[in-house]
Amino acid sequence: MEAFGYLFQGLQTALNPEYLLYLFIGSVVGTVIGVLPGVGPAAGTALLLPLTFNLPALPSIIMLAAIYYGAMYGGTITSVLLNVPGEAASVVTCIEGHPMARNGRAGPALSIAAIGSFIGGTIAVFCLVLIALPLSRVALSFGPPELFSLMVFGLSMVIGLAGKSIGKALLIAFFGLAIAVVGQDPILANQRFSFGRLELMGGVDLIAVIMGMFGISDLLTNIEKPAGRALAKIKSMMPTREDWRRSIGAILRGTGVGVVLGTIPGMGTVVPTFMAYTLEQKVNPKPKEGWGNGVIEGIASPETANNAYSNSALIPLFTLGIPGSPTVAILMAGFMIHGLTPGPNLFFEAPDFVWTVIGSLYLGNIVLLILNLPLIPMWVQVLRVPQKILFPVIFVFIILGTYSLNMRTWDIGVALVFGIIGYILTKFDFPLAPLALTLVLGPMMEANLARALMMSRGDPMIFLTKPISLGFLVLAVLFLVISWRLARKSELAIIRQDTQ
Amino acid sequence: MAGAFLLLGLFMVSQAPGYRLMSSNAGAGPGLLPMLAGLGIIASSLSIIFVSSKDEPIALAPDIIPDRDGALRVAGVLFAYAAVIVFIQSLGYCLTIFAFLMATMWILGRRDLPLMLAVSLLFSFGVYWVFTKQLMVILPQGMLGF
Repeated sequence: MEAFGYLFQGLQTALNPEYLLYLFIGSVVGTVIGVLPGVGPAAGTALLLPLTFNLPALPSIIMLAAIYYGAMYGGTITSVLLNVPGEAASVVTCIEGHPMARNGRAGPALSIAAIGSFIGGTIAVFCLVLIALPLSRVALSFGPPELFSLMVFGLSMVIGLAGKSIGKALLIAFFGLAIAVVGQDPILANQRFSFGRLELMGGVDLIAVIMGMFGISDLLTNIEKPAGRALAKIKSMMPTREDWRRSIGAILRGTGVGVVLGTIPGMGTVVPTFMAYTLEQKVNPKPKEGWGNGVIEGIASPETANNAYSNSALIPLFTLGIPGSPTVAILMAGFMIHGLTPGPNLFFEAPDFVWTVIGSLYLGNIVLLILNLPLIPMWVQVLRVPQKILFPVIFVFIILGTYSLNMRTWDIGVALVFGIIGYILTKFDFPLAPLALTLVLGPMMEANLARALMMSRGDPMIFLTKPISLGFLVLAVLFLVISWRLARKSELAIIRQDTQ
Repeated sequence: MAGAFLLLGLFMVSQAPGYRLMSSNAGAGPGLLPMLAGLGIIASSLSIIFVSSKDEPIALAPDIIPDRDGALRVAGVLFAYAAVIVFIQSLGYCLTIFAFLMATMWILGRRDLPLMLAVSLLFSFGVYWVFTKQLMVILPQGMLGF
């Protein structure tokens, strides 16, 4: 009950007209980002991060969080109407959403997705309220060895779930770590890999790297393909009584999947949506339309899971300081830019701040529902902007965003270099998500590694003698081994298919 | 790809001891994490090379190399972006971005000049005004002062 008292206070503060304005702006801008094909939520949030530099911390984080979940929802519209997933989590929505749109039922598909997202998001915020405080108290007892091992566990989840090849995901994670160690080390402030260049002494700018890796590389991949897309029409927005009857159970199941998976550090956005979709296939193996032909449960459940996950993924961020996806990692970078370190201390050092942000999450779900039910035709107009105009304009915003990070041309170049690297890596099927996480977590991992070794006078066994730390490390290894075996199995199956 | 990463890993491992792996007062030295990252890159690159040489390789995606038009579009846009880096300080934000937008829209196949001009003016001079006058963000002015 203590937590609900805090939430009530947070809601009261979040209802301040100024904060509501930032919340609204964030939701609108986030939805636009999600709607636009070629800009994923990670790149979009990174792109808009510099806009918050001149704002105080609270409105900045309220706006960034709104951009984050707005972008997560916006991808649905593109998936249903264009059959183009704005981001990986929306791939599942294309499977059933676009066939529904082709059958003239885009409106009910989008309405059910919006309502499901609202229900899932709202329940996830309540779970955040219930879990956050007790979990923070537990996390406060963690010392540097436990925190280091927890980060390793979080990374192992991202690596294990990142793609078909664990080797490639591991390689990218270590590559991110290699970028993170450029510049001053966090303990002794010694220079590393800066080659005497002033620009590298403060490290490689995280946001410039992410804008390149996730923004420029996505744009290049889209530019490579010939332009042209068929936009499905919306006839009516109202779901039928039958749609409601079939969707309610799916929405509740999707909420459960999203909330539970969101609390696991490093889960990523793809697994909850796929798991929710698979669960629906198990619950109803033979729907009358046939799977893949526009089954409404196949939209209701994954979309609900996606939004429930987006809100619930803030639990590990707020309580443990571990981001679960690249977009949450950028949100975390936003916290750090404003001098706040997400983690258990935040609840006790800045309770007003953190509870107002949580209150704003609840209000954000309401704003998103309003934006996404009656204003769908407006988002459709955004989709009508030709790519030949849209992509150059997005490039301009990347240039503006990277330049305004430190007011130097160097960062525009950093984004270009990492854009090319990201483009090539994507071609060779390397997952990029682990890189964003190691980039953000790298300095914290290093600081905790150093502190733990300082405690043990250089003995690395400290990570194995502390039970909680050992537990996290065992879980990390187990998870990687299981993921590797599963990935290997599916790889061998592909080889066998190819040979046959 | 794995070979290029292997070289990076070897470079990091060779440099890390120079930064000190352990320090007397701080436990881990500044070179410890670079060493671990380098070793990780080497191990995972070698595992990729080993697995791909042992198994029958999975065919690369057919769209790994874009068609000629696609490659030209990508190269053209990259060239224009690189030109922005070279000229933005000397020519200023407005002129450089105006030229960038005209060039990239043309590269991507847009040919209606009035619309191209309108978009380019809006996102060069218009955005410059918003950023410098409203958001108080300083953008490169160049020799002409804008």
